[in-house]
Amino acid sequence: MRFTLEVKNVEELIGLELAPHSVVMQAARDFSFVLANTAQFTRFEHAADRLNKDAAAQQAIQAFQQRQQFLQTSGMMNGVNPEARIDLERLREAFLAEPSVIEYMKAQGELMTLCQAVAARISNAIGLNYAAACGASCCG
Amino acid sequence: MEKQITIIPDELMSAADVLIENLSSAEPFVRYERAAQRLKSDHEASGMLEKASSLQAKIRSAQVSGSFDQQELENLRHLQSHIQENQSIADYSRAQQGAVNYLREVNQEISQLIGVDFASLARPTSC
Repeated sequence: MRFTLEVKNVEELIGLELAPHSVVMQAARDFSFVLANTAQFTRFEHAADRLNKDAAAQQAIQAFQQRQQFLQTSGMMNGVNPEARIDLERLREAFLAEPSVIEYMKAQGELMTLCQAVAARISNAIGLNYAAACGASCCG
Repeated sequence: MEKQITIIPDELMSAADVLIENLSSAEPFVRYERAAQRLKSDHEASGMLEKASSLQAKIRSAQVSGSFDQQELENLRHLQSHIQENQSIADYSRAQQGAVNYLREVNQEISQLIGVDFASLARPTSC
């Protein structure tokens, strides 16, 4: 049974011009190079760099994350403590108001829009949803 | 709401098209396409898949409304065992997994070079 299946699978490929693995990977590398040189990618890299070097923004992010983690581990996230929730929201708004965070989120959004458009083109052509097939879903 | 059209720069579009062309001619994708064609022309297999899909939807909505019927679940299990035995479906499933694995390898190559997971950047922001 297994032998029959293998023969059948080989036969269906006879006469076809298949792209060698090395050629496909080179096309992937060429694509990466072009993507990395787009205006959206360059802006994203610069914004990420600025955000990493912005001490005030890093402090605001850390304050939010620490409080969020504390509330999660102490089981206070489900509206048990409204004051803690308000405090967390205040910290979230504070870090989102940092100019380097705003710039980073904007750049990330623009890059994601571009990547989604390219991936949609690839997905339509190959008959597989690129992001879903590679393990990235909108829900996590 | 009007859907926004994203303009892909020409050079990126060309690079994506070359990648698409090569991916489509790679063995796992040729096998996947062939298996999909065979599945489409196998009416018994397509019929079973459609029936299973509609039964699953029916069971889900029955669970939500509280009118769950055990017999429906038995019917679905019975149908699923037939699906597993169908050669076209088994071939398609295997070929699809092969294509998915290959695409993941390509994504890994792209992601390593750009320093970010390309698939994560490409994921929709909402369901």
